[in-house]
Amino acid sequence: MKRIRTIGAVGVSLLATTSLLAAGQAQAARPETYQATAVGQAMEMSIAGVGVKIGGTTANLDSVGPKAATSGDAVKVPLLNILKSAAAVEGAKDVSDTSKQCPTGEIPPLPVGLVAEVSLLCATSKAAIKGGMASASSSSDAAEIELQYESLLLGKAVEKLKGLFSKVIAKETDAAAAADTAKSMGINLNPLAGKPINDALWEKLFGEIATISLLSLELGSSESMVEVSSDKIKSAASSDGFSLNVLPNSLCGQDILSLQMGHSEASATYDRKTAKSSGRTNPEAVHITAANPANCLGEGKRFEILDFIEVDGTLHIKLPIIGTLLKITFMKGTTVVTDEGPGKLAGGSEAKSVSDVFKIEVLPGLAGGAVLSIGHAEATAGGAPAIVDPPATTVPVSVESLTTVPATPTTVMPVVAAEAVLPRTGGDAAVAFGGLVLLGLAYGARRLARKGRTASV
Amino acid sequence: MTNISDPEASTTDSPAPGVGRLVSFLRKRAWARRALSGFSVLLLLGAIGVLGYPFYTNLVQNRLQDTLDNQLASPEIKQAYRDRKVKTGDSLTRIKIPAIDVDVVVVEGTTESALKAGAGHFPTTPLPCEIGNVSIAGHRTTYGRPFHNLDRLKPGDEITLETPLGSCSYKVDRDPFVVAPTDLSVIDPTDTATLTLSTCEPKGSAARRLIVKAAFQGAVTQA
Repeated sequence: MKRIRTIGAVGVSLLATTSLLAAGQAQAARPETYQATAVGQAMEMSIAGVGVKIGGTTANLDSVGPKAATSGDAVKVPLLNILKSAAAVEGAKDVSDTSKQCPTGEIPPLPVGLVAEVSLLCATSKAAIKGGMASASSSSDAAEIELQYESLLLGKAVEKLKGLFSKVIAKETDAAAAADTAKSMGINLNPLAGKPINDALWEKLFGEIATISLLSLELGSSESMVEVSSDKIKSAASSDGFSLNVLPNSLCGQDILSLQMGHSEASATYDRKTAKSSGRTNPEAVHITAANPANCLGEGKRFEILDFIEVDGTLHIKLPIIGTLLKITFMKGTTVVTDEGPGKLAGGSEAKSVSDVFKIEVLPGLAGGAVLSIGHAEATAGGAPAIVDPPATTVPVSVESLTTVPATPTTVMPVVAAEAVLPRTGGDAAVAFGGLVLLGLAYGARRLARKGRTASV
Repeated sequence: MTNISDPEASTTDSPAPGVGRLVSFLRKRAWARRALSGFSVLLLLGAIGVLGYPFYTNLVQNRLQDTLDNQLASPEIKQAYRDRKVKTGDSLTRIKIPAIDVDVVVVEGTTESALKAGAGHFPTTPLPCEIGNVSIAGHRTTYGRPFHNLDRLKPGDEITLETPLGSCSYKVDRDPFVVAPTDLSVIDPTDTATLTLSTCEPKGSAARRLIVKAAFQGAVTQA
């Protein structure tokens, strides 16, 4: 017995020493590491993992290389990859890669006094390395429609406006005063202040108005971006189920009115100087904003008209036998920051932000179940600083042999994930109830069938 | 057209209007009667399946316990225990509570799968018989329901844990009490050697958790 104890003690000591040595090696000198990912998905419908994804983008960044890769899928269906745009770069030299997939192109103008630019199933991906800094971004739209004023019709109105405006400022000799007059009319002429008003400026001002868009609609769109700069690693993703902009970029670069439904944003940042990560999320069911004229004068911001349905949560409906029957996630945004992360980020920090506007999962445990998701965005960014000198190895604490029940037991515990709730070890009464209901229904159906048979005789 | 006032359809226990319409529909269509008969058989089979589910889980647990019993005595699990590398779902210790006739092998882990064995050890807590808050969860209903009568324990009742390396005993030191499922403080680390048992409360529901606390008494010499 004594011999067994001795062998056990030696074995455990060897194991402890080996693990400490391994830990010491893990702390050896190494360069800075970082990584970032961003995923945007406007819509997803699937059954048992097979389905349709609309407006999807991904972007990845890795310090090894360094390398960056990104892709966009306006629509992704099984076995069909022709709509994918992808770009990837790697290495220390400056390089860039761009890919665009837009199979439908621009649809010809409509003969109703409007010009419509329609693009379907378009995705663009860009990746670049410049000065050793990698970046990648993708955007995709299932459908994008832009309605513009018909130039000829508007041209007449612009001419009248031009004539009227000329009369107003004809008496003014000071260009700055003319700009003030324009401001009083609600037109931004800040760029013109102090400049002589000539034909070129008129053309610039009214020419831009003449080609302005009336409406722009986007359906199933998303964007993903990752980039590294001298002080930060950034990742960001956004997705929109549907968005409508009225008179986009018309008032000092602002949309007069914009409506977004199923909008989701997630971003994560790793600070290379402090080795800390952070993130933010912004899931919005409906968001309406309006341009603020004061912004033209350098004051104020856009009016937030509606940013409502501030719900954040998940609803689970569970059945004892088949697990989760229904899981509904609505307006949920979470950011998890993990310090002292494992693997290549050991000793560093990582932030992961996930934002979901709406997600319904039916029987998720059953081969993936059925999923409908609108407005999903997630972003992860993390890194670990370079280690120049390996830290001194501490003297190992002796580990007691476990060959007998310890008189003064150790408190060393295995590294496992913490519990979220105490485990479920009951809750099966519903099973019996369900069985009785089924039995009752069987009896009722049987009786009904028999009654029908009796009546037919 | 037959309607609910059809004298043929009227009986002493005259059916509700909807049922009468259904009977009338079935009277004329043999295929519908056959389909309904078939459906009722399916419902009956479903009912048998659902009502038999608890018995099925007991069967599963019983077979699993046989395997775990052998595993607990194996040199492999002894070595894994010594190395503190017992995998989730593998035998960890045997728990004996004579007062409520419990004698089951406890597995490592409290996942849904692991708990099919009946009882599982919280992996974040110390190993059995060590200093700290050793915590074990067990089924109250289904899967052998080892902790079915946990509420009947009272202060002074003895609990024995038999590990691959040795045994120790605990004594219940307070009456069982109820907490919310989210109250993880019951498995928080302690400075002294204690044992915490957890199960669902009330029976058949997972709304709350029943907790039993016991204090370490010492090592038990095996015969």
